[in-house]
Amino acid sequence: MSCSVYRTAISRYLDEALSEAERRHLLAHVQSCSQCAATLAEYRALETVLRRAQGIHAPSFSQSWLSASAANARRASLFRSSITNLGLVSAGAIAAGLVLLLASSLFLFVTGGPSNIPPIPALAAIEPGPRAGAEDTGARSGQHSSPDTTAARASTRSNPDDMKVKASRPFAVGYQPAGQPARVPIYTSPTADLAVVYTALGDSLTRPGKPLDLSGTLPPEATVERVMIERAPAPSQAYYLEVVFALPTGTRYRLQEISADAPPPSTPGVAEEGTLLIAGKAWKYGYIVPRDPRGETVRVFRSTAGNRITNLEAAAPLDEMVQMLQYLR
Amino acid sequence: MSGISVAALVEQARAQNPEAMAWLYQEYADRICSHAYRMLGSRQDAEDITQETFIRAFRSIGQLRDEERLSAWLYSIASHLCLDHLRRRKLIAWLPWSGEDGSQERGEDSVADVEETDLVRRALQELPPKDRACLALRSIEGFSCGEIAEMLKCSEAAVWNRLARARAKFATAYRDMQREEARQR
Repeated sequence: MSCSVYRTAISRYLDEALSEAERRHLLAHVQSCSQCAATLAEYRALETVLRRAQGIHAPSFSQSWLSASAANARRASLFRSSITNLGLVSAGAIAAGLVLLLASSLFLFVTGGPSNIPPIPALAAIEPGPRAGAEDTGARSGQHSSPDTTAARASTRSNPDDMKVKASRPFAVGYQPAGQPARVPIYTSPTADLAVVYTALGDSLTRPGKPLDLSGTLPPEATVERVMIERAPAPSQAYYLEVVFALPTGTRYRLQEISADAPPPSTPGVAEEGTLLIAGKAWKYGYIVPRDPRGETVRVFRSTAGNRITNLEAAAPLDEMVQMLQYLR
Repeated sequence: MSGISVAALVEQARAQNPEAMAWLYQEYADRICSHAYRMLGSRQDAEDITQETFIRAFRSIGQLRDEERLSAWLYSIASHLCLDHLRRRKLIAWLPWSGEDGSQERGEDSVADVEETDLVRRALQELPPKDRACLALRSIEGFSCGEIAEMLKCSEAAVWNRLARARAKFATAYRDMQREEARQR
């Protein structure tokens, strides 16, 4: 037997998974083989190192999320009922957001997603606000806010029930070769639908001539006001997508999406998550789109004070997602 | 609640007794959070996974047949959540049209975390997720291979094989990182 085989046996020896005969055989070999003796000594030392490894403290226990968790059984339809309670603004916005996220999932589902991309601190420089990033690239000249837009923006600020959405993490993702601009604008439009957006994105990246037809995926009440896509310089396929949309109430939202810095998984599934702040409460949401999308559900996590309370299912967006995936397959 | 057995606390938690739930959380949360941290390499993600683990556990605690296996059950939930989390690859960021910019987000690890233990955590990150889970559950948390097999829903032989691979790779990664640290000093 080679020493590599004995290395496996040494591991099993530490796990007490060898028979008595195997154990005796191994120990006899170790006594005569300096390499295996060193391996055993190293493994034993590392077991000690691992046992000594310090942990971290969990977040403090929160009565609020506990209470909500305890009440979870009564909240099977919380997502929908909460949407109702929060009114059309939030309902439409969440639906629009989920659909937008779905659309981005679908893009990656079909294309296989961007290639392996190292971190890009520069994308963290994207500023929030109505003219965010406009000065960065100069690619958005000619986009002017109408008076209606300004009024709607003011309305957004004053409405306590507005869906305030925050980044769940810093934007330290993407790719930026040294000495090159952080982002390359590839598409911008004051008005567009997602079909056009993803066509542009697909053409720019991995699907030349094969646009994604995602028309009809936006909820009818949502109006896309501006779409902007930028990508990192080649060879990266990292991209940045910004969509501004409004609901009939005048409330306006901005979705920012930055492609991941991780390589695509070997299976054609995608997953996403984020945090929404609605009326002072944080909502965690996530999509799971596995190999067979019909076997999964959209998950929506509701939480307060940053603590997750429950994990719920949103049926309507899922139906849309399944329909779209079936259509695209 | 000191002096009350875990079994009794589980029984009370089944009745959604908040005090029992709080006690169970305080008893196990640090360990679960540490395990998630080793699995994910991110404190923030580990905290999220910890909370979700307990939310799921409290929601389905009625399904826990053997109260004495609460610890393994919690680790099982946490491990699966971590593996699910690691399968995710996309980052979606939402920002408000005006106002906040998400700057309240906590940063990643503090400098104090990046000490000797960090070497272990970084070396663990070099392992495939399931191998990492096996090694962490076995060598750090002290579960038996049978328990790990049950947690991860695989055979005991598969756990042995994963552990063998994990130890070999962890040893190499840890050795290399130690050398690198020494060289930089």
